[in-house]
Amino acid sequence: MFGKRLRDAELDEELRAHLDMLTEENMERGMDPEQARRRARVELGGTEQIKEAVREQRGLPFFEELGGDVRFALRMMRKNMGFTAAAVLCLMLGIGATTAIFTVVNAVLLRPLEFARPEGLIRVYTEFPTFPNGGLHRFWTSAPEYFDLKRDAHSFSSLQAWAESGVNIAGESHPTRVTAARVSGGMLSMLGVAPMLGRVITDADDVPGSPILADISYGTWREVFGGDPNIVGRQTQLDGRNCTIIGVMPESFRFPLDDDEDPANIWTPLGLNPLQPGNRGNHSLYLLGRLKDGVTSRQAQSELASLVAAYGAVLAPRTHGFNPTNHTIVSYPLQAEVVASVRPALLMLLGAVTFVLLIACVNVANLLLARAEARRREIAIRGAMGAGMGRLARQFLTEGILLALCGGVLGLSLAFAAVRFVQLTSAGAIPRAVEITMDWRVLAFTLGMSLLMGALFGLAPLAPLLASGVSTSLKDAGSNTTATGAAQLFRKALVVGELGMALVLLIGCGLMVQAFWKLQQVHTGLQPDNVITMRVSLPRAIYSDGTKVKNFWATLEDRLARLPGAKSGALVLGLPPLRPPNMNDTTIEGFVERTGGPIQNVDFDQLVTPGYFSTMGIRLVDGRVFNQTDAQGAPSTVIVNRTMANTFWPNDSAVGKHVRPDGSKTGPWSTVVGVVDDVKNAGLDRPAGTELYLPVGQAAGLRTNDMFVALKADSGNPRALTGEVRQVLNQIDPSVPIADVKMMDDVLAGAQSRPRFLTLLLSIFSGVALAIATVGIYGVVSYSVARRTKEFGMRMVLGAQGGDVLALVMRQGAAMVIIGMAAGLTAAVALTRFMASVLFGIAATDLVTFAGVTAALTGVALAACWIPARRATKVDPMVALRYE
Amino acid sequence: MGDKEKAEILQGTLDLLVLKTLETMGALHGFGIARRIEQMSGKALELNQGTLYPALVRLEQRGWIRSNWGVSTNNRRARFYALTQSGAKQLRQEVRDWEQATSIIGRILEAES
Repeated sequence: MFGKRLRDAELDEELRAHLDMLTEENMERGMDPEQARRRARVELGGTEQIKEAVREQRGLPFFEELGGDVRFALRMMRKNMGFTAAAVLCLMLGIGATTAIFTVVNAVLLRPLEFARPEGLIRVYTEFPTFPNGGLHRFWTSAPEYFDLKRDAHSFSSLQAWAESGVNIAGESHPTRVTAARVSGGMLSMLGVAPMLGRVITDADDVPGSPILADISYGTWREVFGGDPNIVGRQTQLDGRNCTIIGVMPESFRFPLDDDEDPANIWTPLGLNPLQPGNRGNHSLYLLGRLKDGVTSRQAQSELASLVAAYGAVLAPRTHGFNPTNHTIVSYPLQAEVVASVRPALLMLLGAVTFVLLIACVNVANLLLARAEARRREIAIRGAMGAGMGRLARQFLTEGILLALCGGVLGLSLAFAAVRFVQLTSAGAIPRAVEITMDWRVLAFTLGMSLLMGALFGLAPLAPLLASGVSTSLKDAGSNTTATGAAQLFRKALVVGELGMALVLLIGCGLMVQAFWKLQQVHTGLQPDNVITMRVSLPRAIYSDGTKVKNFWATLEDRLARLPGAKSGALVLGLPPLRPPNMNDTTIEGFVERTGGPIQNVDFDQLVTPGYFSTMGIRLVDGRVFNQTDAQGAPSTVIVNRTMANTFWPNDSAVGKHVRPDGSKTGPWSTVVGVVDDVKNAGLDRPAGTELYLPVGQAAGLRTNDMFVALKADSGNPRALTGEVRQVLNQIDPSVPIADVKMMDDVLAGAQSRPRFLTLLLSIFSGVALAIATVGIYGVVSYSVARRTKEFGMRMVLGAQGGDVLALVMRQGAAMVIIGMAAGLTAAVALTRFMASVLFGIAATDLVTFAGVTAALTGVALAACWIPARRATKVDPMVALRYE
Repeated sequence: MGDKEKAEILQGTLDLLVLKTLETMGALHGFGIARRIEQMSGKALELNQGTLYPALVRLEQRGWIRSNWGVSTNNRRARFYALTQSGAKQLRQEVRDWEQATSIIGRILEAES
């Protein structure tokens, strides 16, 4: 700024000097001072003009000129409101959608987890690589194994374990069921998150037999304890046992991160005893470790592998000991693990939305190109007045960026709303969904994108002008010249690009929709209509005795059977379609294991009351279902599912065969009395696995404090049954809560939340892309027709029929469509393979989808050409010939 | 020759004339340059003195001349301009180009007549 003023002052002085010298000269010639001065001024010329010229030559300070450009651009935008609105709308959609998805990707994939130094946290799992069906991966660890690793794995500064369960916590008024995570003493300090109130559990608290202490979540503090200000030190009941609350974790704290829908709300000590760690084969713990400073995850993994080799040399195989062949250890960084399953889906969404953005930008470029055509005269005049290519480029750039910034700001608001929408509809489809917020990275991304896009399509109209040069434009305004031809070709190329990209997106969407539809068609093995489920958990302290537990369930079952409004009811241990596997060793009488063949191990153990199969509509294939005779004291009976029957007794009926569900070598056999249809247990998109049903009345060794109630309603209102169950429970034991009341339909739908979410988003993107691309091709053909009215008039005068003109226009349109489809198909073939991991039941190169979508888009695009083509046929030759 | 045509010619050759002037005269202020050009052309060219200053700025931007405040013969403070080394080189190049252009056109004209 100072430099400018100085220079202006200097120029003033210089010009004054010049003027003085001229005046002097004139006076020497004999003029009087006044005349001399006047003549001098005339000879020099207007000082203001000179100053302006110098300033222009010097180049005004950047911002002043920019201000002029901006003001001009705004004027232009106001003058062509329709165009501006169309362009800004396109940009708003493109930028908004992209920003929304980027926000999700940023929050879920990019942002570090909210623990201290999260990159050092490693999850440790065991694996059974030789198990049938591809082996068991990312499996639990047993307590003895955990202690071994704790002692021997030196890569970790800390190795901790946890297990999840449900507990009943006594709140202000009535007991509530919350999910609890029992953590080893050092876990919370290893995570490094400071509590909001009080303190966290430490190793000193994690001694078996010591009083139970608990940290609770913010939500629990507010909802269950009413935000009690004296919460630290408050006594409460946990499953009927006394417990002291020692701290409240911050609102944003979540651990473990495995289940967003049902996160842990209370953390209690794990209570493992190193001296009595329990059964080596009982894999029930999750492990998390922190790397020592300077140790990489790869180094930790190789240490674990060498430990496995060392253990294997010591312990014999098949005693559930580690050994490199059958039972290994794997480790993965925590953050990657949390998002591993969703990464391909999110990246696919990011790719898809990029297409939307590109289509939107190409469309805006097209619009700008069309308008540049109309402004050729203006551009030419400015060129003649001395505006070089550089100056013009700057003006176009300013207009483009201004448009992009408008679209960007609006897009940001759209993105905000869209992110809310995503959070509402994702409902468990993506991990870390609660953490999705816009941060500075998102804003930077939006701004950067807007500027880049603005620059790109701001300069696009200049491309054809570059070909012909600015100066020729003055003469050519209005007629058919190379400049116009080049511009038209460029516009057509842009439309071809739009169509191609839209096709890729639509094909991807088509595949996704079909995959989702196939998922809907999956045979679940159940009939969920009118079935309602709820969870009933018995406090461990009160129901510590197996007999008490069994009696409770027996009483409940009895009452449920007589519940008015319920056609049938049952109790079941694990609710399909997604349950954790049990992988229990089961002795099959007479079964001979072969290498590579099935082993005597069952994927899922299920505990049911006799009414289960009819309540859930599970088909009986062979034999019979449980009935009242299958009670305690009677010969042990079991039911198997079809997969299990085919696995262990492929050539025979399974009915009458003998098994020992506890995997023991001696003892009484249980007899298979029936075979039922497979029910999905490992998710809707995986095979059902082997399943063994045991009657609740006979499950002696199993202590089951947590069961699900399933009721099939008589009529249309299953929800009313909840109240009745509540009443029944109150009669038996008022301290037992109900939780997780859900219609079975919703339970099944919940298992498809991710495919549903992806399909929804992809459909929205494709719809937007289709709309924009269709409008794009319509615009180009329309414009072409308008430009060629004279030509059409001429043709009609020379004898062409309306149909001929129509054919002419359609041919050009069809050419664009065909090339666009070809390009799109090529790209689609190359790109859809990246979708393969999210597609169920359909190949990424499904021919039918490709063909069908291409045909549909071709039809729509041709229709968009046909409308302006028809207008071409209505041209009145006389009017057209007069048009100039 | 009309004024408009004259202006067009001068626009293109003004740089050349200024450089030549400065080569001949050493350092000169704006007024002096303008007068000198008119003198050298034998009064055939009436320079629009105002166009000189943007040209001087342009030449200075390109590094062919440099300027400094000094005192004129009349003890007046004025800005003086002088040729730089690259300016001298540019002048030689432009003279070569100009002579080449005129000889080509001359040949064509001769051939036609």
